[in-house]
Amino acid sequence: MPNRKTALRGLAVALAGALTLTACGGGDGGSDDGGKVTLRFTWWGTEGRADRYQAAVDLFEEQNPDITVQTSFAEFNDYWTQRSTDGTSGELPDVMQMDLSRLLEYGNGGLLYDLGEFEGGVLDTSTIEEELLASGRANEQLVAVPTGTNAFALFYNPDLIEELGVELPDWDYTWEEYREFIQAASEAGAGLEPRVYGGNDYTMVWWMFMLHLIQQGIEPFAENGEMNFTEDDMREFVASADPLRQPENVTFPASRTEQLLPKSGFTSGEVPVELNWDNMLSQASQDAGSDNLQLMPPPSGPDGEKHLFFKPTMQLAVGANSAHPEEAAMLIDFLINSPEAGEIIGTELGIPASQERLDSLQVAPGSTDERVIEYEQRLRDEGHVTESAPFHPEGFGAVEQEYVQVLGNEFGYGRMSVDDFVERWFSEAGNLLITS
Amino acid sequence: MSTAPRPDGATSSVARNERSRRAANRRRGRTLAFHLASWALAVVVLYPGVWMLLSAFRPSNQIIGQTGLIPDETTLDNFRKAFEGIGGISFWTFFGNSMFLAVASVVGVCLSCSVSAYAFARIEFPGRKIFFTLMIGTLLLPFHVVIIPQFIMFNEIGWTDSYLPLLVGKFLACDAFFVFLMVQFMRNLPRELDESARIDGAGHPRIFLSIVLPLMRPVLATASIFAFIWSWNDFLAPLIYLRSPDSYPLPLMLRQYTDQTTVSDYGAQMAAAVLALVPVLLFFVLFQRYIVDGVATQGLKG
Repeated sequence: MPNRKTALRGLAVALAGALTLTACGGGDGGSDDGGKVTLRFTWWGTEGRADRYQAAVDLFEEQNPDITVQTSFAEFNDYWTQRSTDGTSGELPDVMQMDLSRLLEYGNGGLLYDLGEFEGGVLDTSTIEEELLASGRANEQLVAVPTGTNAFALFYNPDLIEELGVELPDWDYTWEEYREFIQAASEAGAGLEPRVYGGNDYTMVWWMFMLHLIQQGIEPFAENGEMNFTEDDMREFVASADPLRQPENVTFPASRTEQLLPKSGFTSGEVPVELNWDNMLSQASQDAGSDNLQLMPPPSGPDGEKHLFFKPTMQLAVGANSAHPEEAAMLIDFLINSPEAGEIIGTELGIPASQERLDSLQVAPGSTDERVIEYEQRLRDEGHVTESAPFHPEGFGAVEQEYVQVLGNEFGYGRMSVDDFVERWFSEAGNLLITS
Repeated sequence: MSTAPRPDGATSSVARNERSRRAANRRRGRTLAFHLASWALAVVVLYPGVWMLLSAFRPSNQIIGQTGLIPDETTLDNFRKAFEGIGGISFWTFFGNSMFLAVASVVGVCLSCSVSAYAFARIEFPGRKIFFTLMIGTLLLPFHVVIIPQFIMFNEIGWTDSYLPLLVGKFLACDAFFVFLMVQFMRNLPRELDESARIDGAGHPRIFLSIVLPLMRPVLATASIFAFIWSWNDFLAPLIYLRSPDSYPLPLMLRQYTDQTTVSDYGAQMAAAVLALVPVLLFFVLFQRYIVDGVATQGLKG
């Protein structure tokens, strides 16, 4: 595994060089066959998503007999290996699923088609909130369209909390109260077999750091890719969990996390709470084998507000090399706007951004979908969503990975002090972030 | 040693018996230790495979996080799902693709590598040493180093989304390892055989086909086994070159069951992995004696 990982990384690096070689290569994304247009459409995911997309695509083909859609899908990491080779050779698919953390790698490289010219035409974007839509813009072009929203949340397992005999704070809790909860739950779980801990080390969750910054009024990254936060900001955040690490560590141990992979401590029933994106609830629920996992927002900032934001779950983009951009835009419009497709796709691509879509959704009562929709609705209604998703500069995915996987791991094993962590991250980030 | 040999070299019969009994004990102790160690190793090595096999019979949600071997509940659902295939494409399509690629690889490797090996081992052509060194040099290049230029090349020719990039190299003796293996094998074949054929008026094609090729059976079997298994397990090259899901081989299919961002079906993945293993295991069991044969013949010189 490590070998392949490094190999893939090498590939990505090599791609950057190769891009300049073949960017002019071009190519026809589909073939014309007697007026019939063929579109290639690809996404990451598993069979569940494939079934829904395929059903929607079948319907689209029925309504547009002149268009044939060739579909394919892959696992997330494999997907990006394929896209980077596609991008290298100017052979990106006509329609592809896109992720915010990778968008600019493709968008800034001129590999994505500017969908702006179809806005108001075949592509209706008026159903999407402008703040959400803005996340798909790069260099004043609309290079990707969001399919739905997700928000950050604290998953909790009421059954385990009851077993521990501790009390979960209310929605308006503070970071201090969150730490107290972890402390209390860890003490209560010390006698259980396997031992239950109150929570993971939340400072090692990249998005918690982002949220912390936003709650301090700092927009993490500037449009030119520069960081708006300092080493002190990060040090203060990482050190905030020190009371949980000393004198005795009451956060979920890194070694146990490693043992449980690909499950987490939370889905193994050894931690009562987990910070995660709300759309991951159904996976968590399946992994945990429990229908009773619930959601609440992360802790409030110093002003008592949540400062939460919606992030596009996924986006759809069109390769700049596409020979049929208009038909590709029609497919995107169909997927995000048509009620028929909405019925088929459900919440697979995140909670639909438009109200009409939401209303037309038929969600099974008591399902995880229903809980996620209710959660986002309550965030909206109670005014917890006050920010727009933080800007993702080029290299965002890489610095996140450095934070969580590379350094986070070492830090979790106690091989690194807070100061070392901050110093190393900043020196790596300087190389990984692409500023202009 | 209490019963050291006497200076004259003779030992008393009592002492001799005593010694041989001790030696036998020691041997038995050593054999026992060896077997115990082998068993312990076998358990460690086989555990993941057995775990996979038994997990395939578990309900999908009971697989991850279970380290025990015996399932609490057994089900054949995973196999039913695996046979249904994924994304509207049946398991047998993937299976057929894998089989086609593997068999074509074996044919390509056997044909092209044996001819090239013949040239290197038997024909004195100018620059032979340099070409041989260059060929061995390609062994040092990992696949990941050449993948980008190779991709660009095949893409310019327009061969992506076909099996050509995966197979053409096999028919052009690009697998230096197999050429090297066959050259070494051929060097051990007695030259007198081809010399006598030459005296009878045979040229290179005739010598190769009638004399050398039949003698190469063991090494061809070895190369076939490796070519089959490597092609069957190959993941990265098909991932990059193939675009249409109905042309995917099995390893790509296996990866489609799990995804970190959505709901994963570990059960069907385990079942499909077991099914994917069966042919390669059979192939190995059927042909492995040829590997042994190959080694044995290698030893018989002259």
